[in-house]
Amino acid sequence: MREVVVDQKKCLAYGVCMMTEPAVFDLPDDDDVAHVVRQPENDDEWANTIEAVVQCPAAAIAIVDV
Amino acid sequence: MTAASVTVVGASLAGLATAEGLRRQGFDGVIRVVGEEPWLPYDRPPLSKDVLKTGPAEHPPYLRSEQAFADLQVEWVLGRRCIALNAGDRTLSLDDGSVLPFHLLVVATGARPRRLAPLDGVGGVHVLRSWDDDVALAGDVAHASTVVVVGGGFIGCEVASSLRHRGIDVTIVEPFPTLLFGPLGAEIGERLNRMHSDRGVQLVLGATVSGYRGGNRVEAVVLEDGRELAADVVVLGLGAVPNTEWLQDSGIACDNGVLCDATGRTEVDGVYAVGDVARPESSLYGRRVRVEHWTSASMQGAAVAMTLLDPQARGELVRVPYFWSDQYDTRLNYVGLHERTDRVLVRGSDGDAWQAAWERDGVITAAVASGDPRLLPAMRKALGQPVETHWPIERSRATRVS
Repeated sequence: MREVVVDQKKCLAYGVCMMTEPAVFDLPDDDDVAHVVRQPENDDEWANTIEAVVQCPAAAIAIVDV
Repeated sequence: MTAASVTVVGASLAGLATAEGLRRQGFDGVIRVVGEEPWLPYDRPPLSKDVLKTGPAEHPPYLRSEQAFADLQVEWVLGRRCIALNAGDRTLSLDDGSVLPFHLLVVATGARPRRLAPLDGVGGVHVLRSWDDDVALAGDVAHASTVVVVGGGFIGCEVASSLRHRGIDVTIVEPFPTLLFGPLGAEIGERLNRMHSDRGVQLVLGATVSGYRGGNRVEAVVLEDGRELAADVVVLGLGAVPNTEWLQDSGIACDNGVLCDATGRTEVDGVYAVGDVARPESSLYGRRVRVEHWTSASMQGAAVAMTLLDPQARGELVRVPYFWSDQYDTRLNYVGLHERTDRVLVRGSDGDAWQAAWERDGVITAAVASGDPRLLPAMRKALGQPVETHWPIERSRATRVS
């Protein structure tokens, strides 16, 4: 199993992840770092999630084995 | 075809992303990355921001941890510049006289700052692109009370903002009537003018620098109309030129960048280009597009890695462009690609929080927001949509941490 995680100590709220895959990532109103709202559920969402990993200017997103 | 080895020329973000993309897809052959600078890949955006605010550290802000670099298993050839690509025998000539054979090759040599001939080689005059540039500039501004920034583009605006943070007197000289006039146009430029004026930056608009006063070291810049602006330090922010000269006799066509197809393929078999130096075709925009954004370098490296391992993959280099710019306490987020002839729509107060979009034939081509990253998903969704239904841009939903 793999899982996407955001390192909230590294996150600088660029918002690129929530733009790339809004179903998985969000910048909530009452926090200034990105959250994983749910895990990707299909190939498209995984592809976008990997794109978010690549595009994160803070290198704050990782896909880990669980 | 399974590649035995991949050589990347350029050890910055696009080169690193290429290597990472290859490994992510299970490539276990040799990856060799040649870099002109002596450093492992580091992050350039902080150079005009945090580093200038606080002064330099011992090493550049590396893009990855020591462990992550080690895990990549890349053969780094650093501090060496490629001076020629010999397509016939598939070798690279390096500036130390050595010759490297290659199998598949990715050109990721980036761009370099444009200079100003009358100020060439004058002490106190800086450009900002590399860690060495940054160390030199940070060292020089430590003793400066007055800095003139030549060029009101992104680098100029960010440098001005960082230097104001240190209480230094800053003047920006810009030939157009507003800051960021080229990339964002006059209406948004006016807002940037106000933002910088409010923080005490002197703006000298509609003016160009023609020379300087001083001996070996600058004391003032001289404008075309004869005016003089005192300067302990001068920073040039005049845009960047793609590093293609070394490819002159390679058979690879270059014109404001390496000309390549949508996947980065050049005219020489097995040679690709990515990042700031590449000028690929784009089916999305129906023309060639050279993009200098951070996320483009990163995505293009990942995309070419797929093509290298599977030429049928047809992964296009050009995706919807995105960039950000941090000035004072505000971040600008831009997504899309507008033409200068597109009509701009602006909404928001005169303060630092506002949004804008561009439209052509009633369709939104790009959007920019100041101070609100939460608008990004809606901004991206609005691209290609009618103005009547998607302007102004509203956040799709409000969420809370549960």
